[in-house]
Amino acid sequence: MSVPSFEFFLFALVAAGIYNIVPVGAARRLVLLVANFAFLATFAATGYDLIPYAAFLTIGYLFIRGCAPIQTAWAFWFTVGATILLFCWLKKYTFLPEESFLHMVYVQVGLSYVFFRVLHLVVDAHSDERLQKLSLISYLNFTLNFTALVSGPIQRYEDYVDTTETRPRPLDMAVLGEVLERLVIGCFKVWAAAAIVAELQHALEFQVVEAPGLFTRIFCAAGLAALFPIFLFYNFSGYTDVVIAIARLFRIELPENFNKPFTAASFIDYWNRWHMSLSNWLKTYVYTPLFASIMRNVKNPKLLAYASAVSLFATFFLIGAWHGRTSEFFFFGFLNGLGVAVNQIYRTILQEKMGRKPFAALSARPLYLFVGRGLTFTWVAFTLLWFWSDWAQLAEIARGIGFGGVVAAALILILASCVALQVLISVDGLLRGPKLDGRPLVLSRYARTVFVTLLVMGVVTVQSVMTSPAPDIVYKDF
Amino acid sequence: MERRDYFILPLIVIATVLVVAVPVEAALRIFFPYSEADRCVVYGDPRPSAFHATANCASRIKVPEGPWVDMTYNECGYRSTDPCTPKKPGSLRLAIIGSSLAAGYLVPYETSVSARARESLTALCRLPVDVQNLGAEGNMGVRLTASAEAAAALDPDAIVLVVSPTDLVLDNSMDHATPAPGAIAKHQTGWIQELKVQLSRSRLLYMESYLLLRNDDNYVPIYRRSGHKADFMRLPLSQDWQERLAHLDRDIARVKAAIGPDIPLIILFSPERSQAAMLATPHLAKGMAPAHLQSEIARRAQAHGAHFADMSTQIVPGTPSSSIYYAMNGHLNGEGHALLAEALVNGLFDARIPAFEAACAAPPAALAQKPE
Repeated sequence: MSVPSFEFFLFALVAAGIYNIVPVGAARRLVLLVANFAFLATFAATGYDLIPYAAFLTIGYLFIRGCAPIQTAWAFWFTVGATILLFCWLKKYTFLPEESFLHMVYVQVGLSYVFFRVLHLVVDAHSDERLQKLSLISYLNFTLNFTALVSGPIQRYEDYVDTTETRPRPLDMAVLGEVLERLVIGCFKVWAAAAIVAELQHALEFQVVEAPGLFTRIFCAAGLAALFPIFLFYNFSGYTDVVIAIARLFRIELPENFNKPFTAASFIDYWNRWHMSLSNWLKTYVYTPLFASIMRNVKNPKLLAYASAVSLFATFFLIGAWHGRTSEFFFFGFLNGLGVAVNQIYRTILQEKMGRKPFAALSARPLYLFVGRGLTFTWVAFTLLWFWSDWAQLAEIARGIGFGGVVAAALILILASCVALQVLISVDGLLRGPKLDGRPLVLSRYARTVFVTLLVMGVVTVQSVMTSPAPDIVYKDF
Repeated sequence: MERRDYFILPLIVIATVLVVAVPVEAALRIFFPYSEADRCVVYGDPRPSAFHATANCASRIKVPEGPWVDMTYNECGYRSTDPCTPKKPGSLRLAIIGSSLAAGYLVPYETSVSARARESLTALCRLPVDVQNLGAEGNMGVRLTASAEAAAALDPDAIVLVVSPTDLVLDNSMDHATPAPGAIAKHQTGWIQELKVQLSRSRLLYMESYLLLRNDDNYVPIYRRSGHKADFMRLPLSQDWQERLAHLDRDIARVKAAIGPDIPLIILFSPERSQAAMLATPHLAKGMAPAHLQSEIARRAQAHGAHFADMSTQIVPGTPSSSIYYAMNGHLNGEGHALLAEALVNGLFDARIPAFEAACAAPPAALAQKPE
């Protein structure tokens, strides 16, 4: 079952209807469990296809219930290591021997996101006694939560329990209105905005190689690099909008994944705003322990200042490498790690030289933000070249425009993104200017109703005009 | 949320839709005009005469997705640039009968089946060729017999009857003295009916549907779900479709009787758009038999001593059906008529009609099919 799709909406509406009718407690948990199993089953041709998935979940549960109470370091590292290894084996990472893999078709959808949830429980269960008594139904509902199964967001168990069992969120007409609004926005992003940008990108992919003039090819290269981040944002944030809205029908509050990422004026800030649930997870379970470990082991205070950069590099390298098993994804991870590490070193040096307050004042200056946003977007677009393309295609494009062309394309992209992002921010500010009852007029429910109606019309029109279906959710494959 | 919002918010939605839709509808009516009725065609003659056009008449028709088309008729009311004078000695003449499809409805004359067939035959034959097109919207059933009599009076070397699955549906209704095609549903009253009529005339909905349905991946599944309409591609054939084939069988017999044994009759089959899409893209045809109806028609044609030619065989695999049909209207466009003409010319030579065999060189496609 695709997300978003009308089948998914129908399935979710029926499940949410039953979920809200039955009494709070065990009955609701059971309804959610059935819905989760039913959703997962739609990806399997036969029951056998689900056996590896079930085995992974079973082993994870045994680790939480069985090994976590053994308060020893070896038990901790064994369970964590085994969970990671099992995941890598099921995902067929290339550093493992090919012969060891299962040579059968089995369901892998959302396995990466299930892995993050299971590993988080395995790690936390060593220090949290409540998790060691986790019931099977709560475990399955948390790890297989169908609203966030396909591509996240990655929720922490405490937050999940808080919204499902401790304090279920209210569901009234105002909330239903917000759910509808978010669904429409999500569908517009996936089915209209992302679809249009993808079409443009395909057109430029052809032009960048085939266009007769060098300048045309350079502009196409700049445009091609710029379009993928925009496509990915619409595609993934649209999906996130949809699943957050659907989860809300089950009174679950999923974490946000995006916070205007392209307004970030630094690469570190960008990762604080993009795929936030993943970066927060990695900060908690990779960055913080690694940073603490370096702090404990490195005695030289000068080197300590750079411990954060090293930890950030490792964390964001892992983020990149997690996306795929090819050398392109490892390089994508390297560039992400490099970006945050250089950004952190730059901050450290300037803070040392200027002092914290003057550096903060400099960072808030309009010109600094103007340039910072453009540079950040360009770096994001540059790293993503290894996300959507491969070495051969990139070499073909580079050969087509030459080294000078590559530099020119980068400069065009920096300049264009500086200007475009400033214009967007200015327009956003202007729109939020007029007020109604102390709130921006554009945020009033009346203005939002107009906006949402226009988006629905936009989706219908774009879906009619497009001759091919909108691209599937990119993160579904990870 | 306040109580008044339960009324205000839906009104805002409606107002927004209207504010956007009304100017768009107006703009679409200007840029994509619609004038479907061919004013030259005379409907409502008492049976059993054929629907025909007024002599020397000209009118302009257009569907939103197509160009303006001039429908001009000669002194006999036939769609032909050749005069309908008695056939000159030492010339070849072809007469085409059938409904709007045969007439080249919505297609400029020079790209219609008659003009294209004339052009091909002129290139292949040593004798001058003229084509008289007696096709007119609704000419099936008893009207077809009348049309065949008129065609035979022109002393042609062959008569071509163009049929499509839609014609078979039409065939049934034409024998029941139903109103002419353009005069349906005018008697309906009441504001709901009026609203339905207005909505069905909405250019916005038309263009929206056009954009959606021009894609075969959208169109074919919708068509397949449209009940009995698609049943001619389902096996075994439904009772309705068996009856329609029986009517066609009777029509062929009547036409054969009307034109006599000396004039060869060719049944030229043109598939429906959905059928063409399934033939060009086999995965769309899962569970369907898009080539079955034409084999049934071929069998019936041969049983009556008529020849059979099939446009389906001219469709190149992978061809999007909207490139050979008007996506919404369903008639063949100019490209579709090129395939129809090709099938006709090949059919003429496959049939080994003496007049054409003696005066013409067979086209390469027909030669390839000729037995040694």
